[in-house]
Amino acid sequence: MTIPVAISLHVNGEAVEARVLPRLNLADFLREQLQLTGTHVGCEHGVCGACTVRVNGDIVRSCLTLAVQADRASVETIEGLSDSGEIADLQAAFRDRNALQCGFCTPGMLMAAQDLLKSESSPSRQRIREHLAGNYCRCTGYQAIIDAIETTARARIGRAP
Amino acid sequence: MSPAPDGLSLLDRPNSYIGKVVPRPNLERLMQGRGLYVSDMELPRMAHVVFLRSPHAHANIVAIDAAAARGIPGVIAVVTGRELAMVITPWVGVLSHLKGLKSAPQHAIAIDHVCWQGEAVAAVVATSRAVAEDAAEIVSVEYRELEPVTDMRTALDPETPVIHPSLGDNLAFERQLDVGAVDQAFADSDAVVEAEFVFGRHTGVTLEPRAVVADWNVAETRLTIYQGTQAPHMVQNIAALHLGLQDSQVRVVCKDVGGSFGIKVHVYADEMATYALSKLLRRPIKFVADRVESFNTDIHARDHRCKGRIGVKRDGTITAFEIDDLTGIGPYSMYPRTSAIEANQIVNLVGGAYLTKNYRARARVVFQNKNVMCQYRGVGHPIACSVTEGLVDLAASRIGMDPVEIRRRNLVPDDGYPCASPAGLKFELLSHHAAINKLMSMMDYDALRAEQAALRRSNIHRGIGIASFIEITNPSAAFYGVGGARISSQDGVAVRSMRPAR
Repeated sequence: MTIPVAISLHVNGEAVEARVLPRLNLADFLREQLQLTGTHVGCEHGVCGACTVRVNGDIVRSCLTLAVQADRASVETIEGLSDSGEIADLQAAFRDRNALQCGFCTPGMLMAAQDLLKSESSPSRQRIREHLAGNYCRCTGYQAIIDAIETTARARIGRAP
Repeated sequence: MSPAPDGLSLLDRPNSYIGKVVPRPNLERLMQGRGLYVSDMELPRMAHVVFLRSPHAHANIVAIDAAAARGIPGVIAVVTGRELAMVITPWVGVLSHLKGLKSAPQHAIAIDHVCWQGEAVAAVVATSRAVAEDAAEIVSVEYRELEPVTDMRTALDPETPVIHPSLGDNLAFERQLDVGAVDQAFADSDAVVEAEFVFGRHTGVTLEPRAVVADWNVAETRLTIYQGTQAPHMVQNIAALHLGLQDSQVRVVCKDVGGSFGIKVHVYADEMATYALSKLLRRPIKFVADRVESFNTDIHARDHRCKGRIGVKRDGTITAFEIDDLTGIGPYSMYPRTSAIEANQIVNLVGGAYLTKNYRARARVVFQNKNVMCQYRGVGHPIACSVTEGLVDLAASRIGMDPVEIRRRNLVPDDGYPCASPAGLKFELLSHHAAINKLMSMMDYDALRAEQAALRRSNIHRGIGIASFIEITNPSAAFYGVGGARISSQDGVAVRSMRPAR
């Protein structure tokens, strides 16, 4: 069929060398080759947002990104953002507001929320809704999710120097 | 609720969860991407199954040629329905308390006859899902198309083909109820209003699709099933029953589940096939539905055409309800809870909140060549509530009465309990009038109506909807167990206490 391609990238700060088939998407690469299963696959066609990861600082749908496109890139997943502590306050707000039920959408929600909060310090609820428009929560916990993000934004402003 | 002498109500008792924040120990792992959903699982020697599915709604399978697919590196097996039937028996989705319900034997993988677009005709097992999908593309299946039964309204017509000839017709289930003096009540009414209510198919769309890993250990003769399911004891019982095992040989492990909503409370043919494939191939087999498979094979629900009739007096007294409900459930009654429960519930629930005892209902459940239907979240309630409340609104409109007022005049009074509905459901301590009074004050109903009228003059049409509703809770074994479905188990725990080593 086709021949694996060598790629070299950083995932959550660690150097990774791998051989991947050209057709392998980034979500399957992360989940199956690196066992980073916090990145979820819900729809496999870029609609649900459960597979959201960060590539070179921007959030992307890892199900619509090929692993070979991540060659020489820096990829960050929910595991990386959790371990670095970057979103510890956001996660605490999600917990306090009970902003997850089954939790399957949650890693993608957190990735998208942090992306917004990095670029806007006090987004309106409408802005939060817009930014999360590509992330589905089928348990329909949106109100609590937006509450948690709004709370985090306010708390971060309070902590800003 | 009046306080007890010590100032505490029932809700303040020490173990009450009401009003308390309950810690959820699973949140941390779910938020950190460290949950374990079945779709995340990998076991040593695990293989992946992809189901080749019928593109036709109704057809005979003439031949399956999988020789080329078997030659692809990484392909472990291509298994047809007939081959799989050597390790798993078919099932019939009926329960004894639904008198007259019939269905045909359903196989884990279709044998000779496919009945809906999406029914599995072969299983392709390979070392990766991608390889299995490649191989599935080159399995050649020759079909002879049959006329599909699609419209529930003509499913029972003599000229419509019968999907399962052994059943004689396409009628799965019929229930009739006639309580009180319905004809007399309509004759005595000042107005009789009729309407037909049409509901399209719904489905639950869990964000994590259905997923199962089945691990048959032939040396220990034990099957371990990891499944995103709402009913692990049911899965254990049914897998054992159809694989020829004792319940004690089957262990079902339910880890994190990415949404269920009633979609994952059933046993699906492709899941049964996955258990059987593990037994046949003596290794762990993983099946995860993709999104298209979810839409094509997760149960659908609520496809009904319901004709309704209501009689009313000029003073607002509702004299009678009558419904004639028709629902198409696909080609098989689902296993083990059956596909007749939804229609049965609609018969049970229509008119339930109101005083009239005059009620006639007919529900017919018919087979058709579409994906299977069954019940999920709020079984039958949305249909029954929409039909009942739609009729009450139409009656109010016909006699020129406010929709809230007609409900006040007909809802069972708050001191009228215990009582039974015309269909025989027993109600205790409901409070429709207290609820409606509270709602009216919360929404400031009169002000909203005035605003609505004012806006209408400037051509703004604002709707205000009112519905009364009884949700049946905690039916216990009455729904399924009484009819023979072994769905739950006695909870039990073994506790062992040890001192930490020093």
